[in-house]
Amino acid sequence: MSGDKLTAAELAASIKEGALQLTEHGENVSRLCTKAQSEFNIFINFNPNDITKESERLAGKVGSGAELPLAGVPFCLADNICTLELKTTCGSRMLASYRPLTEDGAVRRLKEKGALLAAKGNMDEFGIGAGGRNSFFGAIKNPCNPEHTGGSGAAAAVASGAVSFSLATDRCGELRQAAAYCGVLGLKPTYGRISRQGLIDSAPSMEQAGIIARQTKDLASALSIVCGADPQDPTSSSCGVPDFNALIEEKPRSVKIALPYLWDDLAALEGEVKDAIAALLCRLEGNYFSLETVPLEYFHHASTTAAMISAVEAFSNLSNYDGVRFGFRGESKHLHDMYRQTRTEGFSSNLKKFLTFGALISSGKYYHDCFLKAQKMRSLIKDELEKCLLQYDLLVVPTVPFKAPLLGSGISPLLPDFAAYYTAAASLAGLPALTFPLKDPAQKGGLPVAGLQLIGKAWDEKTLLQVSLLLEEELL
Amino acid sequence: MGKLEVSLEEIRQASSDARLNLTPQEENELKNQITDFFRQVTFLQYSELEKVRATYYPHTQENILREDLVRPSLPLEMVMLNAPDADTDFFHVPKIVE
Amino acid sequence: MQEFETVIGLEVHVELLTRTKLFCGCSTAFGAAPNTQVCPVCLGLPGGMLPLLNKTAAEYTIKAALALNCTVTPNLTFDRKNYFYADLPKGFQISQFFYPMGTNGYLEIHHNGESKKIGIRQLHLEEDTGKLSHFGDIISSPYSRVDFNRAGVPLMEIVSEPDIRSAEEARLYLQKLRTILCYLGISDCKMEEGSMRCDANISLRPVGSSELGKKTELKNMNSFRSVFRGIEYEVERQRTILLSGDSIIPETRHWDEAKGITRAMRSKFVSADYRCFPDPNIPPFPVDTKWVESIQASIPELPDAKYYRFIEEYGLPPYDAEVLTGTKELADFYEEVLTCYREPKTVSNWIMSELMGHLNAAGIGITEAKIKAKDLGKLLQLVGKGEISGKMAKSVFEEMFATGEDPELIIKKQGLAQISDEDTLDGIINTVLAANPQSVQDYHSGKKKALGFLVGQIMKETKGQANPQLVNKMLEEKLKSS
Repeated sequence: MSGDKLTAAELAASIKEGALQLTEHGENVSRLCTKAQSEFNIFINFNPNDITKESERLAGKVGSGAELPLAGVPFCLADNICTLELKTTCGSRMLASYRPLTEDGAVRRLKEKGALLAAKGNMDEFGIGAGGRNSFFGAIKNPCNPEHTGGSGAAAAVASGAVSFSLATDRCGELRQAAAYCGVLGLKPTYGRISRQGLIDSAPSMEQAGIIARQTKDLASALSIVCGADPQDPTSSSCGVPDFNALIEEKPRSVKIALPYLWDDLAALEGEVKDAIAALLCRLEGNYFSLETVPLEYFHHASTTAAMISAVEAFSNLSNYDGVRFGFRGESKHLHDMYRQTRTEGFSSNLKKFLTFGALISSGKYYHDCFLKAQKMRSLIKDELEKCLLQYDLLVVPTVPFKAPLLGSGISPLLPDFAAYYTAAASLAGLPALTFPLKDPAQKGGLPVAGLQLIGKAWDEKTLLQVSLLLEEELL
Repeated sequence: MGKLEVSLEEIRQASSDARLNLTPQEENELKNQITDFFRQVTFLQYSELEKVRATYYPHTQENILREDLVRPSLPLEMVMLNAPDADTDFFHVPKIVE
Repeated sequence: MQEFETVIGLEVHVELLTRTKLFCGCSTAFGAAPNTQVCPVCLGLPGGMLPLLNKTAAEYTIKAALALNCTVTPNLTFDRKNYFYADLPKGFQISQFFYPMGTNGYLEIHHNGESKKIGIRQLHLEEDTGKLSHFGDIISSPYSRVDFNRAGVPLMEIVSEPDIRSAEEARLYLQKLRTILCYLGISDCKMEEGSMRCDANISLRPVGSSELGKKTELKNMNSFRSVFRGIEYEVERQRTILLSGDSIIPETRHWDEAKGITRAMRSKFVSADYRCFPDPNIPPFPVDTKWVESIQASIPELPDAKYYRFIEEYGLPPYDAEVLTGTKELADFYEEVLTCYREPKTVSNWIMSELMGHLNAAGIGITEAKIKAKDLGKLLQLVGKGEISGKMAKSVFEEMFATGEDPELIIKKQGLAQISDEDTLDGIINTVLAANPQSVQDYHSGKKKALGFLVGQIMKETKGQANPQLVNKMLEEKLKSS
């Protein structure tokens, strides 16, 4: 098959050279997506005709000889990232028919470079971590084993082979967790790297768009395009964006890696995950890497800290869902009752609880005793990580303590099941983090075993990508 | 600081402030979840946290300012595109009866 | 009977004169068709909510903070005030809750020749809300209609300390605040159009007590007059209650302009917990000294400085100085006239009586008047040199005010120039004397009234253009020698 094994750059080259016809390629993508959708429920408002139309439009662009490094490369867009032509639902009844009036900056850049938007990815309502089991449009199945969750449509679409990469958001680690569940790569860049204009976010101080892909080179290709300052986004950085495509070809020299002391002291950590990570860590020590354990005092508070901060931010950020200017509206003759009907019927039970939690811990005495303390703990976590990364190039931990959970298992977005235990710290500190998939060769066709998470210095996605490529090409 | 104990009244007040109706079952589930949560979050009891500064932003940025130049507003039909209840130029809301 | 002291603090909101809204590029122009000055940012639409701060709005607020003697915050920060209301698109208002732009300032009011400082607790920048309207009245209207054009317009709130002791002081404070903000050119402060709004916190306490009494918050005062009347009424209402031994219910009350009373508002949704926290979309921005210095340098001479300078430099009475510095434009006009005719008190008299009388009658401000300062100066020069009489000057002024023409041109056109040529006058006097022998005789027989009659005849003969002093002098000489 065409797109599965080729890198994005190779695929684009074969389209530009004419070895692969765009219309034929579009039909292939459409067929793969249709199949993936019917098996795993990974898209929202999926319409194969959109792909056909999009590839026809692209064919014209390719013919015009424009510079298109991603010509025809199919990608999936999580359904909380806006485009002008498609609905954006955030996996919520509230926005089931919402037509955005803005287009995400990153998506615009990808389209300009020839990438083919295949479909919008199914997701937990407003991206709030429930492991892919809290979407108004149904749970997302794992392409490796459909009885388990796929985490997000964006990750599952990549794992299914239907698209080359996905653009999705990461609040407390959802992007990385889903990639680990599906056995693919996931990169959350430094906060501020990719414009947040066009995201429908629920945790503005942590949420950041990132890339999911099967191959490190594809991460680099997409990242080179979507990063960069946006004058419309006050939180985007003017920090220069290197050409990641060129940089990853350089082999890293003597990467100093830190491993938190007692990293595996967690009841929820599954044996298989622990063993796979431990085995890999042993193999890492060698030519390229030096590995040391470091004591981290606050790292283990990250997920609860992030839960509190993201709940308060979500409570506030989702207050514009009031049934007046857009979205679902409940009926009542009185304004404040209308608000209640709208929000009670438009949001899921889980989200309502999460928002109530946010409203609670930002009220009265809880403001000082919970929310403010969480923001203070955030300082300790951030300072500790940054201090550690002054001495080391990377910090490594598992991505998720367990394999993809069963679809029927219970969820609570407050502290789901330690899913964010290892991922939340990088979110709080705004640091880049990459999950690298560990597949157990003995379990062919089964669930991926674990993700190894690499956390880097701010703005140093380069080292994450170089190490990822090294693992991919030489060590595994 | 004593241990945090959440009451059903507090949960009801919070959900009401967030304009959300929770069923009695949801209220109870949430109360149990929050109680468990507070039990797990041991750092809420750390007295040394008091003197730590709060971090609200991952990084400081320089480009939050914009020149005072008018940009085109949305055409009216786009403004009303997603409105659940509106006429050609106004959004409609139920009356505010307090 | 027990004596009470009135304690008032004012919360004033003014819309800033920026071209665009606080966080987006939508126009702030007044009077546009509903919902035509909105975008995803100010409508709070999902996917388009990132706020970009209007630099001019920030600078205007820093300017006001400096002019009101406040300490300026070292970091520009914004917070979210969370609540639900139909005129609030995002479910939160972006405001400066934790670190207001300016704190701990004051302004000075002048009353009966005395000056008093009123403390400014804080001054901050925030977003205005949209507007609700109804078909007919709210009761019969089937629903409310919302226009978000005003949502997100930059609003500056200035909170005074409870230093105000009477309705009159409140009015003076408000007027001085308006004068300062207008001098700065950052707001037009029109209460009737809603670009300046004022709420008052009012309480009474026994004279000599330093504790604050229970207060009410008074809203809906839409003019300077209604601020004065509303406060007077509320103070009397509270005094009556306290004297009867009851206590004040702390509440929000509405001023009813038509009935001239205050009424308690029903307050089911008023006492909300706003859960203010720093807006995660707006990272703090350092306010460096250079920036503040450049803003400071752009501040013109303020009314108080001008007031004291006018008294000092021109020897004006405080009342004149207060009136003339009432607006920057009037003060500038005054000083421009002075450059042509340096008689400060005379010029002041002319401006305060003639000019302001005409402006008031026409219902316009000095900037809309056609008359030019230079021309008024020229006119006063002519009077000073005796080329026209004061009486004539007033009629010339009238013409200048109506047409904006040069006074010399008007004088020429109307043939108003004074006849001061002695030869010409001599001839006319001779003619008049010859025609009125009886009056000449009366004069010589001691009837002084006859002189007045003869002068009148000469003025009549010259259509009022004869220089009256000269006529008097020449006539008396002639009569004595005859």
